[in-house]
Amino acid sequence: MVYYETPKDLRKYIQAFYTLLEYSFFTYIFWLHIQKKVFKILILIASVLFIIFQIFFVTTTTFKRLDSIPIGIETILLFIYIFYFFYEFSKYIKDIYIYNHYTFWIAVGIMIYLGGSFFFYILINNLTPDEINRFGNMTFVAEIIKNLLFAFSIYMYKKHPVNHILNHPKNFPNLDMI
Amino acid sequence: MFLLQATNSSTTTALFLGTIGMLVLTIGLVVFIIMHQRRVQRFQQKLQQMEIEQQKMMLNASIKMQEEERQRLAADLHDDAGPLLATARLYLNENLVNQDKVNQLQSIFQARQIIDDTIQLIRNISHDLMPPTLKNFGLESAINDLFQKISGSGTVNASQRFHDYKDRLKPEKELLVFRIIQELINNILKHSNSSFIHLTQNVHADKFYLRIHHDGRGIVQSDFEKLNKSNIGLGLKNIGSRIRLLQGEILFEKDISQTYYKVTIEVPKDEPYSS
Repeated sequence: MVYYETPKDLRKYIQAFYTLLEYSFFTYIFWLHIQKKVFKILILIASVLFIIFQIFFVTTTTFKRLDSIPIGIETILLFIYIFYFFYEFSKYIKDIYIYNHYTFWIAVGIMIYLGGSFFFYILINNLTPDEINRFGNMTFVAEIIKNLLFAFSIYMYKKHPVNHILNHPKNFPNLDMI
Repeated sequence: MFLLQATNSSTTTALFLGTIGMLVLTIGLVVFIIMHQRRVQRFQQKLQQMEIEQQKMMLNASIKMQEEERQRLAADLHDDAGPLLATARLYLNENLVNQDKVNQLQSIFQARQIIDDTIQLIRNISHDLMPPTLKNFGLESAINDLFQKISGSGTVNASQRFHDYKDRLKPEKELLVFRIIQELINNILKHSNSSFIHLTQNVHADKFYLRIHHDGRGIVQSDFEKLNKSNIGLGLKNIGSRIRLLQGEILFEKDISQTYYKVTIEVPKDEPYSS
């Protein structure tokens, strides 16, 4: 309700902030679980660039309903992080099934949520109110599935508390020629 | 109006198909990941099976090694100590009392000489079984002794440096580590044709580390694992089983500079042992 009482000029800032918040929250989850330093640095760089772009986009562009382009970029970036997370997981974790790890369910939830709403948010500024009503429900379904999967991930976290951190090949300390 | 309708219709189609496509992609990826991991897990199980086989082989190798050691010991005692003592017995036969004093003294002197030799021989056998320096002064001194002997030959320069060995490992662990070092050094001397061997010791986060560098021909981890799985390389199998006993790890690698080979041994440190 507060959102609809907000003046129309300010709404875009709320939307932009929401996109940033959502991106930051989801990214942070994968940031915690991805172990490769290089990829973590890449996530940092991508995130900084994304924030700069979002600020630039909001201050220079007027949009009818939603900040479609930043949402599209957010989705693509998060898909990349999830793909990499899966890749890293299958490379380093061999002793447990991936679906026994709680982050797997978070990742699937995010993918369904983002996949289910990607085209809708991309095209929302070109849709009629009737179409928005019709297809908006589809995003709600994706969102409900996401929430259910998030809840399931909490259950998995409780069930398998040991397997939260990805193991990596060990490094011996430097003992060379001393 | 028609154009607008057509545009809208294509937008909704794109939206519908795009969303379905994204969901299919998501589900496809999830299924692929799960299937792939299952395949990897199956492969892993197979590997574990192979590892069990390898452990059996290692056990056999260590039993074989023990048997060989016993045979060697038996041969040393039978072929060397036995005849020496028998000869000493001959000198000290009952006729000795009937001989003149000069002959008696000569026989006693000869018998004593032979008994001294036998004592030395038995001492050598005992030292082979358990180096006294290791028992009395610890791993650092034992390795130092070993390296001095190697350097003394003049062909290989062997040096060692212990950084933090205030708290000795337990004697049984020290012996196992020493045997591993002996085997590694033996291999380096036999196969690598190196001009120097340098050993470094340190402690880091409750782990005891030893690293050997040499500049000759060497092996890397994959070679070690390959040799461990094959029927050759009894010495390496023994190293593997000793490492397993120590619950440690061993890593064979080539230096980043590609000039040296290095072998790192990691052993969990136990509670301080005072000598």
